[in-house]
Amino acid sequence: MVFVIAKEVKRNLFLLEIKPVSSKQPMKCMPCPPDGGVWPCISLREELIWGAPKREMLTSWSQSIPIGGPPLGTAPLICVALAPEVGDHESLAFGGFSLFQMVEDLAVFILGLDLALVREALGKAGKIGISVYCGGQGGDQGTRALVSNLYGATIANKTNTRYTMNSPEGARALELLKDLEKKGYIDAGLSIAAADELQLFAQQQIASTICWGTSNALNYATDAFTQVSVPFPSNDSVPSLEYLVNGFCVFDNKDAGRAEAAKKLIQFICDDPEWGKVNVVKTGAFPVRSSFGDLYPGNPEYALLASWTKYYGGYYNTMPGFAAMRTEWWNMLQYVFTGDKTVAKALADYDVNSTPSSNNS
Amino acid sequence: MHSAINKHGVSHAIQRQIDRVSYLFLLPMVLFFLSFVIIPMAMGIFTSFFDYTMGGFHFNGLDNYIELFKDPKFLRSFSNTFIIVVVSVPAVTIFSLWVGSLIYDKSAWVTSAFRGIFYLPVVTGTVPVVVVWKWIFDKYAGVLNYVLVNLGVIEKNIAWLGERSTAIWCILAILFTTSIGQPIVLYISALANIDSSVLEAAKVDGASGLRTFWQIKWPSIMPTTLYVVVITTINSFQCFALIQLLTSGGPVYSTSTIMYYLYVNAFSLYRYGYANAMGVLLALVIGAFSILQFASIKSGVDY
Repeated sequence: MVFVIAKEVKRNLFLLEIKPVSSKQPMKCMPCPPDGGVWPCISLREELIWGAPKREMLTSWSQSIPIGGPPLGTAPLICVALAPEVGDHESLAFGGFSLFQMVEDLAVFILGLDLALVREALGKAGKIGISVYCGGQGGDQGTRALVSNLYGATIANKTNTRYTMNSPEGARALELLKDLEKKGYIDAGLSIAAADELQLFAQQQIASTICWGTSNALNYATDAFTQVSVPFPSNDSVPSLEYLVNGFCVFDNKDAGRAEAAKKLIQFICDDPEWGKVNVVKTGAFPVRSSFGDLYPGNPEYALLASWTKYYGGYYNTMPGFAAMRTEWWNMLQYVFTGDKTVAKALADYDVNSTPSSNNS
Repeated sequence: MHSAINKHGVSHAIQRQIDRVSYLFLLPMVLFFLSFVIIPMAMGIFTSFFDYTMGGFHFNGLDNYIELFKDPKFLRSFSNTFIIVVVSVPAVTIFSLWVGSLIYDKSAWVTSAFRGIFYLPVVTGTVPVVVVWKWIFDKYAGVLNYVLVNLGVIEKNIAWLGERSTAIWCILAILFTTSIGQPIVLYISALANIDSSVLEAAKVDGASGLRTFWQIKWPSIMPTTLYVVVITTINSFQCFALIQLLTSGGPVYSTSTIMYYLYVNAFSLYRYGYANAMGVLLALVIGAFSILQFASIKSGVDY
């Protein structure tokens, strides 16, 4: 467990101070890559001699942490904590989050897992680590991904016939979040939804967001800080990511000719060798077919994100009762954080109310 | 030749022509009213007896109405709505009357300035007003927290819209600011229209200011008060936009109102029949309140 402060003493030169929990290590100076590009994080991490994070996660993260990029005085604060090998209760929460914000001219890398240090560092900077927003329905997939990933809970069963968060894994994750919120390590966003959280992130009030996507990356593109994407934390270091199938539908308006015409248009948009690719790129998405190849050549961020498609989890958006489940979800989080219901009771009620029935679609 | 003449001295033939033209002028509005008010109302009442969802339409009698009284979220929303009405109606009425009394006899410039200030939130529109309030109440960077923390009133930032104890009061505060504009303007007009000779006579007779108010002004502005009370009651019962834009009914349904819960059922859960049952019940409650207000306030009102 280490706590690393990196101060950019001059352009492309960082002074790293390593602070293990128990003792203070001597200062280290590490030059950035001469091309000003991406720091080879693996070697950085080896240098820092820390635990034994999952190699697979390290590899993916190593591609996404630009260290040498920002000019002097604008280096971002980055907090990256790894999913722990052992299931340490508190250390798990920040595993996998990237927290990066400006703190004057200080770039702080928190590579360890000690939440007290994370909290202290962020608190000094007047920042909030993460907010588990639950003030509304918007962006609820982010909080579901957070809760489900922590201890391997699932949103729905494999046959997509029942919502399954009411499980020991789900309860454990919610207990953890509730506990962390109580201790002040995370924020319960009872009055905000995802759009507000993203705004706060863009305003650098919140150090990380759990509702990030390629469209957000474009909308909130800024020189003020560096965007770093990391998978959701999980105790097994294998994230299960939510995704959205951007598809088309054809209305059955009792006119076969029109339906055929609509299908032809859709086929063109999707299958045309030229315009099919343009369509995917314009939406900032990834193709469902491999034949389109790499649509974002020379873009390491998109290459990294494309590599995460292997982590896609189940798709439950078309399940019966989806609308009811969504309404119940953020209200369930509110019950947990306000303490109006115990985790067990909140989950049980969520389970009953979101169970598909004739009453909900 | 005898030509039929009516009491207004117009021949029946011409009167019929006048009537026809009058009805033709009314026709567009009648069609609009029928299409967008009467028919939807009838459809709402009709479908409230059906299990009407996106995928089905089955008659279920009074089941929707029975479910309403067993649904804790609806009952919570009902009680929240009731609190909003009970707090906001007297507050808006009394404050508007107080402001109106203070400024109605000032110079035209002063009266207009105050009218403009208080009416501004009404003409600004709900969404921009709510956005500004949302910034004010913001937990992280809101000006209210900033001021209170710096004054030492509170130690750390409060999620005004995220705490059960404060959220409904924030809603009431915003509702108050957006509701007082029209009543103040009405009260200023009503007070200015009181016959000055009556007031002068009271003054000559030695009546105190308080007595003049209660025995002359108050009865004179009773029709305005009735209007303000009824309209504020209806608006308070139908409080929706503030909730939708600020709290989504939360936290834990502490700010959910009937209108908001109706919206959730209709447009998030697609339970149109159940939502319509709520609408019918709300209309009945508003109707009952209005009748009660007419009955209790109308006495002594001379139109």
